[in-house]
Amino acid sequence: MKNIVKITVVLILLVATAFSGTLTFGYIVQPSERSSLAVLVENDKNLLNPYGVIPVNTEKHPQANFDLAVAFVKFLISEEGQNLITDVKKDGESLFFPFAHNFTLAEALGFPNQKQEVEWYNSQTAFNIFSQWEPLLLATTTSTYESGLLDFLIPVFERKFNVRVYTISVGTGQAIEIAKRGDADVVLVHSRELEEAFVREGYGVHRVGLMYNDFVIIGPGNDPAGIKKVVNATEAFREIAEAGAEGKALFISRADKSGTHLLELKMWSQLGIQPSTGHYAWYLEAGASMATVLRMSSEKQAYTLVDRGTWLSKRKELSTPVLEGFFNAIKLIVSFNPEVVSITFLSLGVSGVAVLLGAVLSIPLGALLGWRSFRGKKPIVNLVGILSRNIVNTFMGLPPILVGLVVYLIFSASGPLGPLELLYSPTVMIVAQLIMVIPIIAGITMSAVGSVDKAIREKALSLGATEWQTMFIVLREARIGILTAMVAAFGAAISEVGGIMIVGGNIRWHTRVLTTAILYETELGNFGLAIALGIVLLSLAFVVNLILTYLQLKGVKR
Amino acid sequence: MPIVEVQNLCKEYLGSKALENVNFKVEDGEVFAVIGPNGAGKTTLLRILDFLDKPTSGKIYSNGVAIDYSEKALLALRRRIAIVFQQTVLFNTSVFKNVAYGLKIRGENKRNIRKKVMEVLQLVRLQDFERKNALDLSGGEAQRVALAQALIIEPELLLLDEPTANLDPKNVSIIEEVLSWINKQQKTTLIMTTHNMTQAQNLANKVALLFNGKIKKIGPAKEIFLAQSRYLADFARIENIFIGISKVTRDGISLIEIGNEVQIDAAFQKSGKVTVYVRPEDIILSKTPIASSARNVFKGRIVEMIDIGPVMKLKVNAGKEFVVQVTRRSFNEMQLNIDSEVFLVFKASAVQAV
Repeated sequence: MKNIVKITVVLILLVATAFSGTLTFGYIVQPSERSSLAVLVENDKNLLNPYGVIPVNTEKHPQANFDLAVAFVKFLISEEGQNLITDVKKDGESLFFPFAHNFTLAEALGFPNQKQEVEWYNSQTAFNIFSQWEPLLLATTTSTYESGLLDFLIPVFERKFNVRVYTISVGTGQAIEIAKRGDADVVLVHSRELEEAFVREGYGVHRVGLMYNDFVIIGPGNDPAGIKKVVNATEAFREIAEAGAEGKALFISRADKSGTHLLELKMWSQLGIQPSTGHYAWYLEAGASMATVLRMSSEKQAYTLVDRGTWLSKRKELSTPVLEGFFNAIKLIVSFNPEVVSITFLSLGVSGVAVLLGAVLSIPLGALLGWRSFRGKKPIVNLVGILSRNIVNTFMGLPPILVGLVVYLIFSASGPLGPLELLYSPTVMIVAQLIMVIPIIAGITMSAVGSVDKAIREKALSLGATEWQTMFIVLREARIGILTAMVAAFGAAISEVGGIMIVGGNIRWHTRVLTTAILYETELGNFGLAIALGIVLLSLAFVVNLILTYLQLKGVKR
Repeated sequence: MPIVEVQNLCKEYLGSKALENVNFKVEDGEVFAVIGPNGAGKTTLLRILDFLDKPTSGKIYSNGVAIDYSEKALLALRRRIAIVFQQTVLFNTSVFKNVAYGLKIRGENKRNIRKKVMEVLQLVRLQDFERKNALDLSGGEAQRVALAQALIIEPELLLLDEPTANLDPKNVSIIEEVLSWINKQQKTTLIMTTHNMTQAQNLANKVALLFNGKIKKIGPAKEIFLAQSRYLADFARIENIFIGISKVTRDGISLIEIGNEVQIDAAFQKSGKVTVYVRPEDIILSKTPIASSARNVFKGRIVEMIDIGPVMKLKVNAGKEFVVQVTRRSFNEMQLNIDSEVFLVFKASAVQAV
């Protein structure tokens, strides 16, 4: 009873602190006190950014869903697809400009074979029936997702062919790496060099140009490096480097192998500058998404290179006070926002199933190891017991991200279990979490069984129980410890982010769970959604701990 | 044919001898009491008889058949024997399930189990307790449940390790009644350890005195009690028993080092290794040091309190642990509690050598 009062008081204090903190923070940080970001250089031919689309070659990866990939590309370059692309607008401005049928422009933008490729696609007979169980895995850049392009295109395609598309949005370089390993069916990216290498090495076929957008250089409105007056982007970069050397300007690089990053590097190398050596204090390498880099630029009053789509869709959020995000969060929760609900249920499902399966596997394991500590007759049996107990204890502290990496490599198309095609599915997320929870459940069960009074075991034996019956009664006596193990494992699983991110891929509506969504939405600057999910996660953790406390209170009776 | 026969039984723990050359026979239907102070080896003996421990050497015969220690044979043997431990152990579940356990693991049907549990709970006078959690019971009630647990399997041999130690008189008499009843009505053979003389006298028809792992005397209860009454009375109640090195001084008393820098003055003259004891009732307890002729005065703290009705037993740590007795009334008047600082005083003549 006392504990419950204590917990309540702490909780109220916590919420009060958080709330007052939010209020203060929301009011003190006035965006207008700083110079807000503005477009300083635009409409430069060096800054045009064409997107190519390439299906994965079945000669390298026979499991790739080539037919559906072709159907997808055919849809994108069709009149319908090209018109849809133009319709993606922000503040009345189109974000992307299709050029699939403008062969001259295509050639200028780095697609010399555009005509033949379009003809090849047009010669493919119509595909109409696809298995609903074989979704299309699209590896693409963050810019296509963040700009809202995919939300616009994919539902139309899915309805048309009655299929599912799973999107993994990462940097261009990473998207191509994923496809090279065979973990995607089609790539939609923007980097001529990488795309051409991808085709040349035989991983992709029929590279075709789709659309372009343009980049702009943004920076603080007071423009300390004075780039507004220069004529082209390359000169602007030179000014930034010079002002940077004098300590007057900063530049933030995506540094994530994205198309944006590659374009930026190309421009530096034209100037003969190699910024990525760590010698330049003015050059910051973020390794983050465009939205994050925009926010960093705003906070640090730095210059950066950004695609117009992301700039237009994110610039307002840069000055959104945190308080607004909090109210948005409450709105999302009380209205049972379908995305929040779906993410919550997937989290509960994945972690719940992992813990239940984990319990089935590791309770007997923990019981056996704990049981051995009762007996230990022969030294060799003892040694094996001590070793395995040590191993379990060590693995209790296993970093989830390491589990994620190993599971990823195993289930990746080029890994030993690749043919199962389970990567980026809830199943493989359960597998990863299962590996994380097994040592936790086994370890706690082991110590719970080991700490059951030896007299209990002797009592059962003396009443005529067989060894199995004795083991069962010891397990029953350890039941509070075992339940504790399961609750602790669930708490660890549901709040884990690294591992599940790697193996699940954070695919919207499909493998996106609470923690990966919080990470992602924060990166995108969607604070409302991130906070809402955070509140849900915190509430779940609270409930889980409440159960734990209750069990432990019950256990004190002993 | 004896139900249990033990020949030259020895048990060593980490090089020290817990039991040495123990020999006895127990006939069907007998009550055999093993009397001895703490640490004499009584519990070790019972654990070996229940096959929870293996003897280092020596033979045990059950109904004339030598025991081979295969798992299968042990299971069959254990199913005919039950034991009640001194430290009450119960499962964390209802009284009913606790008592039913022995039958459940034998695959008895539910109706029979229910009937027998009720009978046996009635026997130990806990008929309304079946729904209670076993861990919520008082010490005496819990020990009666443990007894019921053992009785329900109708053992041919029941082992009891100090079944009434530290219980209040009411619980002691209930347990003694039950033991007497099952021995007379169901012809159950009992082997019990105790240091309660009256209990042994009331129940047993054969008695062994166990000291330092050796049987000092064994025989029919009547003979032992008649011939040895004074010796036995002291022997069984030995609580403050110490082994030490004694030196005789010029004034004719002995100084005995009993370890932990504790030195006892004794009125006898003996040198070398000695075993001595002090009766709890010979020790005076006070809150302040008192001036007296007594040679032994120790300062200590109360570490344990055992309520046995009108008298309280206290364990006091004064370098070594001493057991003292005070009446409940002085206990209350002195406002004693765990960790209270107290003084122990006893005369050199109260120190007895074994």
